[in-house]
Amino acid sequence: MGLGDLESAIMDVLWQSDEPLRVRDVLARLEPERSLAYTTVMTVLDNLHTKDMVTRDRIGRGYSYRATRSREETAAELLRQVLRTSGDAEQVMLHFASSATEDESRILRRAARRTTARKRREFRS
Amino acid sequence: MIVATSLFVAALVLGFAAPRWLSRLAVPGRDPRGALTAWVAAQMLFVAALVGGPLAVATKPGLHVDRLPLPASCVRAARDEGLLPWLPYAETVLWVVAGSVVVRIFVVVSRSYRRHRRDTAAHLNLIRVLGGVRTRGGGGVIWLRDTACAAYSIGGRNGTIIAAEGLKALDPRARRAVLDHEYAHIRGRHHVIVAISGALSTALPFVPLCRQGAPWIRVLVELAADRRAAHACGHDAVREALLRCAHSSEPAARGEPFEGFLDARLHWLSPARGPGRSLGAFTYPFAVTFSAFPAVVTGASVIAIVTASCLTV
Repeated sequence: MGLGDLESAIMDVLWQSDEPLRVRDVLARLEPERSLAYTTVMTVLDNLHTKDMVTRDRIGRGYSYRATRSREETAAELLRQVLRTSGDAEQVMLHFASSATEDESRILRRAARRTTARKRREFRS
Repeated sequence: MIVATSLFVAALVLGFAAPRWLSRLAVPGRDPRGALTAWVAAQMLFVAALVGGPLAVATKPGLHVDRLPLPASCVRAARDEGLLPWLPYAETVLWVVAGSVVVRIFVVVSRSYRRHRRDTAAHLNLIRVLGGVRTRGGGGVIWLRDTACAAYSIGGRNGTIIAAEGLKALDPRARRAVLDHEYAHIRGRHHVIVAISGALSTALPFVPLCRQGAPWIRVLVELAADRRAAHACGHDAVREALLRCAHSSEPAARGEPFEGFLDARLHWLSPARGPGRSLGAFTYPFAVTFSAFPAVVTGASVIAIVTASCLTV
């Protein structure tokens, strides 16, 4: 789960608002130094809708947008996702109490067994 | 050609035989950073030898030296007299094989690196918004409002730790241990090491050093970070943090491998017995030597064999 620069700025605006916002409202609330076109914001909101980050309701000829989940719910979902995928060879986020693939778990068990066997041999001799 | 052949054979020895001796370095109670260094060094030497082979064939370093050592002058004389008609074909085969392997490594690693950077940046963007962080750049700890006992880190120029507020329920020393574990990943550039070993495994899955190296390195970076945290906060703090965080994770995520991995990490965390078992000044040089020695011996043997056979022609 991740967002581009503008996507995250727009999500921040939506999370700060208690009510659904139209494209022009989002555009007005974005940081003033960003000189963005109306269509750019509309396209990004459309992308966010595709990613299920926002829901929209038709108002007249346009839409009003709001975040699908609250900031806290999204944070919780993100953490669950990272927890589920830690130990996955494709992921390079290192999680503290990480899960492990069967390969990783087997490696440690074998090394521990070898050490125990060596100690046993040393003890006997 | 002698240099190229030696490098190619050394790469073969490292690629196919190194896991046999590298896996013996990881022993509970011994500092895992030595084993980690040895695995990383072996992979780097393997790639360097593969790159060096075609480079030596292309540049022919022997041609630029006036006073050649005995093996090189002998081979040159034999070639000039037409005693080695197969030599150009051998050079071509070596160049094509090693060259195509190097190109594949380069393509896969660079593609994986770009994807890793893009995903990390996108993930960090979302995390910043969720954590209410307004400043640009990374670094430090971003706290997320969640009751889970969880923390993870993202590498890169400004490595960042993401921690759930549920972590605050831990004893302060255990909480410090979790953060120190993640800082150890960032300081040790573990994300880069894991990413590169993963890409090597994808590029050359038929080479045991690459295929087995990826899981070994993933395991060893966790053990190394545990050890670092234990050094700063004490073994008991890391042990408590591991147990508390593990048991607060989702039951679905706690399969048999997970339980085994947790037990093994706790076992590995046991304090080193005796002064010789902790990380000393010689551990890193020893680890590199240990990983490279058989390959160096093989390369030297190739040179000796070439010399002996050339002198008898």
